[in-house]
Amino acid sequence: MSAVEKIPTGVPGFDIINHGGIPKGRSSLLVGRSGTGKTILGLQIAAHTARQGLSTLLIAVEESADDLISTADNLDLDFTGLIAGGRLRVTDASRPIEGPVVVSGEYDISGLVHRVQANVKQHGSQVVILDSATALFSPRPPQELLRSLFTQLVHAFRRMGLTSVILAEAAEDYGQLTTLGVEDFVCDMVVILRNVVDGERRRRSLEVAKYRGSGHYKGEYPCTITTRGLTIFPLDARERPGPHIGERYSSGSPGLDGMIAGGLFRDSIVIVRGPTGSGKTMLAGLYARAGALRGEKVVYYGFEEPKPILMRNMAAIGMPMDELEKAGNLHIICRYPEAMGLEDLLVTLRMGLEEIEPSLVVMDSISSIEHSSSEKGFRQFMIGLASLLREHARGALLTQTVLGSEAATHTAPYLSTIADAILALDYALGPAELARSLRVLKMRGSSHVTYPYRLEIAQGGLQVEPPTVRGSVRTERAGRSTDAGKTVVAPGPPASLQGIRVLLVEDFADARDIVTTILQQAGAEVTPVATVAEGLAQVDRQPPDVIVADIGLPDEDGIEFIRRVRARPGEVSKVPAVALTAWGLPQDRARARDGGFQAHLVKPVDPSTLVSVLGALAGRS
Amino acid sequence: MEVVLYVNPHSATSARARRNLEAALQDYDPAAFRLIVRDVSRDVQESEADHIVFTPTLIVRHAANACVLVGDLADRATVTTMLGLGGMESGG
Repeated sequence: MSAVEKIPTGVPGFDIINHGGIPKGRSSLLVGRSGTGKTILGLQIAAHTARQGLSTLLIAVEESADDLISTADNLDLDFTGLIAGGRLRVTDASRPIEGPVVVSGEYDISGLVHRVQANVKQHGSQVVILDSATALFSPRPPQELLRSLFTQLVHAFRRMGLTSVILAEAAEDYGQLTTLGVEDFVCDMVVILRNVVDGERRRRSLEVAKYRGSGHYKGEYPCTITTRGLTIFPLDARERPGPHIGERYSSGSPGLDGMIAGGLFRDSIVIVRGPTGSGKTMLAGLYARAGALRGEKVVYYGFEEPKPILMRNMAAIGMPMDELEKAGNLHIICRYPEAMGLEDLLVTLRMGLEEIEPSLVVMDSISSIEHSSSEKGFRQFMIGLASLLREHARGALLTQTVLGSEAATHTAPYLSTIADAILALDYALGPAELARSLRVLKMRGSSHVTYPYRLEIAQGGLQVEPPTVRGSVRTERAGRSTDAGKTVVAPGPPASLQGIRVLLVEDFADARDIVTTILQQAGAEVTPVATVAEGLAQVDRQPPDVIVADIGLPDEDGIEFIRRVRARPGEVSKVPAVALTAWGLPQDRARARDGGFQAHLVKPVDPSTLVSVLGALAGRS
Repeated sequence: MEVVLYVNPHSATSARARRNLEAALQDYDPAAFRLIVRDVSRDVQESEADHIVFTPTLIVRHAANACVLVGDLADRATVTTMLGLGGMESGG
């Protein structure tokens, strides 16, 4: 906790970075080159303190009082109303008269000090904003005198019990703090505003460089200026735990839900990565539709195509959006990020979150933003976006286009930090058509299947299934020769099971022996049992790393077995399990998944697939 | 012609400025100007109207013209120049 008493500024995001506001009864310095937004920030603070009932005095030096009032009114800060209400006063200290001003010999600053003092006496002023010190000391006095005058002024403010905000010009974004070079020494808080050209884009940022007696967030934070003033996007926005901890919702794909233990966590940020054509937009559409169909409010930002084309494409694959949009559950907003600055885009997003109040946000794709900005600009955007979503406690699905080989690897550290879940889509070029796959790279706080599932584009969206195929059609596509009607298993990645303890529950002796042999050859320590009762006894005696269980068993079925394992206290309840069964229909798979199995393999199983599936399951967190 | 000097009554610099100004004005016809000395601790309305920040500040007004001199007025030549800019001519 900070010992410094603070006054909130009301500037969006600013009070998060400065841990609650500006220091009460002390001086704060806002520094920046021309055009960085110092005056706007000062006006916003003045309006907020006045609205909070603190008598506020604005000293206009750089511009006339009338010009500042007009600027503030144009930002909807209603200076005119605040002045009429007696809560705000603007005093003019700009160059007094059109004519020459000559400085010669010694002087002090008591003229201004007495004017401020009169305001304190007559109007009870509590907050003073000086715009700016640079203009006040122009022409610039000799350095020693300048230091003395500025110190006199700050000490006078403090003596009068005023909370002051002093604006000062910087010569450069990174270098000597102010052109005068004296202000920061006597101010308790120093804030630097920057507006730098980064690549071909402008990038605004705000940094609290010093805060005497108080903690604050360090480093530069992206900010932007709009018709409503300055908005800052804190990286480390306070997360609101909210009432949704642990609550899950459907991703829109039952197959994907099955991979991630039942669904996505409420308020989580999901990044879907994959090459062009891997199904990212469809997955985004499924996610959006599922939310809207549940009656939630969803905002879908399409950054890659105009709205009519997006709507047409979605309708063409059986995911019409227009009815959901008419019902008010779905808002589709298509924009080209290239046409607007990233900060402006963040403000648009913030306004969308505040006005539409969606529970889910979709962005397809963030790569359009990535390509229209510098790496640093994109990083700041993503961090700002994440903080916006966290601040509003919203769930989001963001798609990102990457090369196929990069989908499952090479996630920029900041993106990895932002995402609660990362899904990698990919495809392999088969002889007839694409063989698409979906892999869960990360699912914070949840178990998940770590090997890829098959993904097919079908009417009504995407179909996500375990790597099991049945029937000749799929076999042909997979390029494997087999008899029609027979079940084969798609090959998975090779894996070693060295040292992994596997509990096998299988009532048929031959099958039990074959599977035991396969697993032992891969290095696993296998405990084969024939019944549910034996299986449960073994689970309690020595929890395995992975369970392989048949569904049809003599005493009870494999589903009941897994339910009982899942109901046990402690870590044993989380042991991953694979159903190994002759039943391979979609409803069988769904039943197994609902019962608590992570994967479903159909007999006869390909040994390499069995080994790789078990290896993937055992290696997960 | 109006010659207004804003002073801080507690400042030696302001007292010196007043003396320097009065000495400089000895060279001019007293009928040609009106000297007003304002105390920034009391004459707040006037110092607001004239946007006074520093003391001492001398304002020389003549018709639509005005010029401002900030400082202790120790440099007689500068003061004379300012008074001349304000339209006053030395009688000496």
